[in-house]
Amino acid sequence: MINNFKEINNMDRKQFIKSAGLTVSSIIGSSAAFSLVGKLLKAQPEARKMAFNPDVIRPPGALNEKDFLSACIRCQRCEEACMPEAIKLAGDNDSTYSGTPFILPDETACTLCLECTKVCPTGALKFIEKKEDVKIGLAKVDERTCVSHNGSGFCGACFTACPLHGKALKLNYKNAPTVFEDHCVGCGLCEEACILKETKAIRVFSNRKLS
Amino acid sequence: MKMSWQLFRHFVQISVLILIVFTSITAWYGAQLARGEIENILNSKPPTFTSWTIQIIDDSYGGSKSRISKTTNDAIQNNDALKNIRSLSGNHWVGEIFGFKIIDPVAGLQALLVKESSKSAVLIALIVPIIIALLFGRIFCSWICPAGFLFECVAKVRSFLLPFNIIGKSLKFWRGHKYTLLIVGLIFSGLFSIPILALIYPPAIIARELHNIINSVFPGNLVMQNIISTTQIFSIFSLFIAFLMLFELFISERAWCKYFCFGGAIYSCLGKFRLINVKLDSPKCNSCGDCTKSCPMDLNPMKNEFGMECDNCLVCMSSCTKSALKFNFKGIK
Repeated sequence: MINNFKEINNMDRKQFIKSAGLTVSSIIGSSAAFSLVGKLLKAQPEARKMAFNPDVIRPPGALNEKDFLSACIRCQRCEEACMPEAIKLAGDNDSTYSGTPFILPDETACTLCLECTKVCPTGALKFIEKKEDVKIGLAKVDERTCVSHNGSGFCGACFTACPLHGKALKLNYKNAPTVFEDHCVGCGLCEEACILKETKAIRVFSNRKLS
Repeated sequence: MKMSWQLFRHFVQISVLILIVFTSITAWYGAQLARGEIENILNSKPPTFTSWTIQIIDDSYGGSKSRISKTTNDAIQNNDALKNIRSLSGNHWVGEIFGFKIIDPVAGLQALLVKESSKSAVLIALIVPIIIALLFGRIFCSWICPAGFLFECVAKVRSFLLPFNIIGKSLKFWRGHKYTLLIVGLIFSGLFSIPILALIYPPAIIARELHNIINSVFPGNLVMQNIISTTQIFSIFSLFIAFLMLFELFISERAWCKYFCFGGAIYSCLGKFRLINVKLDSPKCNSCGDCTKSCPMDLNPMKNEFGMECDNCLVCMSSCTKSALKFNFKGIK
């Protein structure tokens, strides 16, 4: 009844190899062209470009880096759903990372509403029900700069900010904070709340391994 | 009656485009609402005396955001306007209607190849597009796809320019390119973990660009400072669309849809045994060849050769003066 399948279904082997070679070379060529054009168009200031590094903090529930990069289809739904505007998207300068979500906790920290894990269509961000199950990083205290630790003040701002009250962060003598690794989810609210402006005394570090 | 199908199709295409712009604007508006909620909480007086003193201490130190986490989450999730915005959001690439997700087959296929992705969620989201493709074939291409609409406009411009002898004859390529591109792209993305198909798929690029443009043109979005600077509204990938538009204008008409679109390849494979298609009623046909000339996919409706690549755009039906082309329901016969 329908006869012109032949044209498509009888894939000539020669033609298939030719076409495959063409597509592979065009993919490589186009990616090279993209990166070249990206370098030419580089209008962003240096600080913004360095905002993204491979050792980055991903939104809650992210798979390991290799699976995440291939499962993330760059639909930007997580950024749309993130109401505190904590999730940011990598720009053109970040080549293959372009369009992937990440968090800069010192600017805007994740409030653990877990809305992004609900909207992610592919499971690049796995669905998480309780905020205790999130593990996006680990906070570390710099005891030299923390005002409660080095004795120059009496703060405790990170403790009041911590969403896992009294579990992940505990206060010692003079409100000096200590992090408990088992409970810390790495949301970064402590880092955002830290009263030191330039060099934060408590910082969240990604637990991702560089691939 | 003849032109009405084309009018209806363009109406659907334009309304889909308007809907996508609308959802992007509502997403931007939702972000503004949420920011208002957060500011309300930050400015409101805390309930207990101790928290009030803590706030004073915090404010004096400059760390006023320290108490937002739980209260903001509750306030944002209980906001009715935000709930309504969330119930209809996204675009044709990945959308959500009253909690039911719909995902593009290209995105779905790439996600299914990843070892740890949630396959059940992707498969559920794929149900609607797959059923539509099984029934109607490549109907997405001609009725919904904004890139297809854009390229149709380019083809229209080309037809206006043709009498001026600027443009030569349209080049033809091998139709199998799209299937090869699909297979090679999937293997490539599996090997190097770069979703190359998702990055260069024109409808996806248009979805992303619209979102970015609206967020950078409308005031007060913090996120967009990162993805694009103020001097540059479009991202690199829009260059690909510009390239395709120029290619189709000057070298080959509708080349992407005909020869290279891997999304169209998926729909073609699904629509091979589609239940509803256009069929020639041969006694009425006077072999004038208008339908074959008008077919945007370079098929041959006059010899009843629609094949799996027909995208049911019904242009042949509108062009036929004898109304010899009709719908054919396979399941009923």
